[in-house]
Amino acid sequence: MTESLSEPCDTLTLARPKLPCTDNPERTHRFQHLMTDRVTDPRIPPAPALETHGLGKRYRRGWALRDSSFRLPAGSVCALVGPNGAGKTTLLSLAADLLEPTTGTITLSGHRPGSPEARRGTAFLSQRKALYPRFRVRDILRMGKELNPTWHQETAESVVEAGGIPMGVRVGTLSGGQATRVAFALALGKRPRLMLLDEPMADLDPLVRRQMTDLLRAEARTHGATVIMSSHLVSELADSCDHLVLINNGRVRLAGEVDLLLDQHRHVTSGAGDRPPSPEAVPYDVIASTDHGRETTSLVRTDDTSPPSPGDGHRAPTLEELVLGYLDAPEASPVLTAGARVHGSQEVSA
Amino acid sequence: MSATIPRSRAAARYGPCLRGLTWLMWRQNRAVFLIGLVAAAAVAVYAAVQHQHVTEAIAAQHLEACRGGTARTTQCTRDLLAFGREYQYPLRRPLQLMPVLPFLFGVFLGAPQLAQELESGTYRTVATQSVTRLRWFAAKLGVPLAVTVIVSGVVATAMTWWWHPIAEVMGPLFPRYDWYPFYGVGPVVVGLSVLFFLTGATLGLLLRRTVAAMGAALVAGAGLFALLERVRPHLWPVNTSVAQNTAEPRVPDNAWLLGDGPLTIDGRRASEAVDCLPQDSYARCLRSHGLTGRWAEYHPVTHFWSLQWAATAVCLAFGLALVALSVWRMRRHAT
Repeated sequence: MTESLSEPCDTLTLARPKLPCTDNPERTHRFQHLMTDRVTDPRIPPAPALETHGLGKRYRRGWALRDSSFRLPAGSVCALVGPNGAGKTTLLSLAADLLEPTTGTITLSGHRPGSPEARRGTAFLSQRKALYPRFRVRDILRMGKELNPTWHQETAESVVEAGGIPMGVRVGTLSGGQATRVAFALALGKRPRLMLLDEPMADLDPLVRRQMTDLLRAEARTHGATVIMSSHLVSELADSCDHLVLINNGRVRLAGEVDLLLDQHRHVTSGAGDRPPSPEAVPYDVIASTDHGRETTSLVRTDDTSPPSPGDGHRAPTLEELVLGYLDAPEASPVLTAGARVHGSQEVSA
Repeated sequence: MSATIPRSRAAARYGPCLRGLTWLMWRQNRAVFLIGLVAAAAVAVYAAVQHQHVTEAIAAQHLEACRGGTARTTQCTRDLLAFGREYQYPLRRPLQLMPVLPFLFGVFLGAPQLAQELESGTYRTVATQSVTRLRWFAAKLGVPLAVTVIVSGVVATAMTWWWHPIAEVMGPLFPRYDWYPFYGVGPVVVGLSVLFFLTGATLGLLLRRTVAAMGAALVAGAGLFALLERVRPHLWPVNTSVAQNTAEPRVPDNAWLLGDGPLTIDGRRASEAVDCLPQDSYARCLRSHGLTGRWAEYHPVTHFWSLQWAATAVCLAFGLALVALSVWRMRRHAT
């Protein structure tokens, strides 16, 4: 039990060495304006930013999310990846209290999604980033101020001004990217502990995309906020995230620190004529193989106690290769790192 | 509703200032609210001027003596008809237009209220702010409802103010219980406006499409009107009059006659003896059938306001049921 308590701390240190977990008085101080409801006792590690137990959601047409159990430590920047219709939006909507789970539970820093604490501490940016089209930009910010006790006007204004958007313009006349920026301002002005962003970058140009990513990372770093971004494009999240949750067909396939997940997999290239690595020949699980004609590439899972040496056709996979490999192999057993696993979880441990 | 953010001293100093959800509702419905309030003010001013003209004319033409058509002299009738041509005719068209008012609240304020949020997805933005969904929902219904009550209340008061002296002096020459004075004056205007607004809002919540909700609000409003018109006579106990040795029921002037028929000698109601009609002595024929009297059921003039309040209460009870339905729906289906 003591071991389990210390886990979030360890994983956090691994993922972000500059951010000691709870024994830093400065961090505790910074947290105070956000966590007024929760007296931060430095001896107790913070509850995971997001924790699900057997979470499932069924619509009339079928299960959108099934039996998912994982957790995400506070302060992480997490990519929520999966193909269209995989259940990403459902998971984020459950966290944002827009949906009620059919099975299981979900908690945000130990609080139920609908609770006042979770409401104050969570910002949600929906896929459509819907804002009132007849409102002026300043009205949108006024709305944030009127509806959120934690509102920070300067933060919101700086996000809008960085995009050169005048405050008096009607939202309906903004371009897609500009409207997204205003929606970001509304989310960030709330100074949330947890940011749930559904396909946030989809309609941004590469430059603004990078600006927004930097902004989110800065927010996570300076305020200890947790960011969860969903996307069906791995590449747009690859360099900005330290955690990954992969969902396919409504089930969690991968969850945990990006570094640890990559460490547990190898990208193997075998020459022409070679048979793809088989369980007998290689002591790993082959997740997926692709035949390129002259050579075959495979994603294999290793035992993390004995990672194979580089070279000899072996190398660490890129995040994209890892994700695509698992999307290709829906029957592969899920991998959850120690930091992402919850007790009572049915998932196979890595 | 505005308790989320404490009212600051500065805001209080610069006069009344909307806060929190109340501000959001005002900002979202600003155009409709302003049109409604300005229109209500215009109607109020116009009706007040008309009321002034009417009371002056009644005094100038010495119609007090003919009040309520009690003095049935030819001179009185002639004077009242002349007065009616000048002052009652211009009132008839506005009174006939009054039943449109509740439809305006239902279609243009109620129906888009929730449907637009659900259709455009802005619901998800506002539902993930710090205020709870139920409080947002309460503001979403409550603030426009308050404006509905104010606007319809002002218009109803103005129309009543205009209509009342004319109705008083003309008596049976201007029947009260017809649909068009009845639905154009008094508290029932407010009751119907509130009910139609809530109907529109509930339909918007169920249909989640603005145009569909507006159309459905129109149809549902017409249905509710027809229903209310059907039950209207039964909302207050009727007066019954029975009289023997007469062929005519004794019903007061200006009453709303709901039904009448022949009465047997032992006081039972009977159906009309149709085969008497061609006979030369109608009364004798009836007597030969054992029909000696008449019964009648009616609402006297004094029931007017009781019926108005009863109809209003029915509308409000219906409205309350719709609020309960939409709260239940809101809690059950989060999105």
